[in-house]
Amino acid sequence: MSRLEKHAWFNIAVFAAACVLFAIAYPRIGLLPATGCIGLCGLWGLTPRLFYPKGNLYAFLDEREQVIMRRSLQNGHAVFWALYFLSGMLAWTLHRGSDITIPADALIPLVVGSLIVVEVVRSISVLILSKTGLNHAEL
Amino acid sequence: MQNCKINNQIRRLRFEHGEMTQEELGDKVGVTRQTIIALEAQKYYPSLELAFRIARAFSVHVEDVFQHSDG
Repeated sequence: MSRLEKHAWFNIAVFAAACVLFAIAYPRIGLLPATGCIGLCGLWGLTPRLFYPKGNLYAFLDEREQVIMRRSLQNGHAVFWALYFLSGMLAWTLHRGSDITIPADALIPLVVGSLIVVEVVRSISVLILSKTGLNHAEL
Repeated sequence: MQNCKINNQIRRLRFEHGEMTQEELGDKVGVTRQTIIALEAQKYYPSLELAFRIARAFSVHVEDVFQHSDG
């Protein structure tokens, strides 16, 4: 398993732990404090960067892995914009004709949740592309 | 874009050069063993720079390692 795949598995493990912690904490301490648990997992997610030169994973990657990394970032971006569109349209559809607005408290979890989904999609893309292959000319 | 396939002789050349391992070739050309595996399985087409480095590692011309065929 390459370093890039290990990093992707690590990311997925961090997010799985964050989801479990959030699910445990939310009923007990509420929405916003529970997002603090996700924040703590974010700190854990940063730890591998301590072992990379200048915190940069790219320095360890060869050209194929860099191509996979870039393509996975593109996939993550595509998913982010799809989520952005769908959540916006969903909110508009649900509250059309009413004066209800999205609560300010929900914004932070929404943004954090979107970024988590993006990072998970990116990590899964890395694992899939590492197995299926990718041409240098595909970018 | 026209369909094409790039075949390579990396596996054969490795064995002709003292049964060089994928790890050794990877170290010589500056990529991981996984990338050499992907190249041999034709799951990854290398950059021109890497193609030249691989050819140089075997002391042959690029076209002795990689062959282009229209599909």
